Amino acid sequence: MEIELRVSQEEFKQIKQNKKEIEKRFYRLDELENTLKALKLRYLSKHRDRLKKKLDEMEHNYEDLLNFEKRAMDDKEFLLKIRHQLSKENYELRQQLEVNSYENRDKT
Amino acid sequence: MKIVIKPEVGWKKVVFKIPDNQFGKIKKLGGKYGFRIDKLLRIILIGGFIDYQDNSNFQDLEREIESLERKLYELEGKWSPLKFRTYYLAMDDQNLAIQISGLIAENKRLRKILGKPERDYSKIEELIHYYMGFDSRE
Repeated sequence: MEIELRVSQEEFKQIKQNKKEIEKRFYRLDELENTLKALKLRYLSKHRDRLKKKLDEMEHNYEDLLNFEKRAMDDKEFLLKIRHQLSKENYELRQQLEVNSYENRDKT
Repeated sequence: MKIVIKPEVGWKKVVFKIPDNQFGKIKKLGGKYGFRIDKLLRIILIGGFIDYQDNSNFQDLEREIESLERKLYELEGKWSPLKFRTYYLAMDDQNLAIQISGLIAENKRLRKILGKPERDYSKIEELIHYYMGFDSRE
């Protein structure tokens, strides 16, 4: 069986230069295992930190949205009240305007 | 196992011949720690080995990650309905703001014709301005 791996020019140069040393690494399984452990631990720690950061941000945004919902509900209640008040007042003012215009017509 | 290393460009190559049973052990180690074979080879060929002394296991860290992921899924599940609700709530407020804006204009005109003093709409106008400027993409 054969495995082919492509590397950059710089990496190829290094591999060629250190071939003998690299060949030995294929037999140093304890050191390889230690390295894999370290890399996995590093990956898991970074992943944990990323998740923590994302969760913090999401919790913060969720809290903001909850506050906005509360505010929008209160505002809706207030705006409905104002619409009702203004509609009523405008209706009364229109009635008054009508009465005034009748009175003015009678006078003339 | 024959491992052939080639540069991105060019015909040169470096070949490593590793006994199959030895390569099998390497593959097994990779599987234990979740590394693909190409990644494993890159570690051996380029990365070199790391001197790692810590004896802690990964289980605590994995449990912590699992718990964080669960919390994130739960929050994402609650996020969408809340966003949907608040969007339509803000749209309702925007519609009300448009209607009230018309009513205020009418009220100002009627009061002026009837010689009545103008009402203070500053608080309402501030709210109207806020919801009229509400961007549906937010």
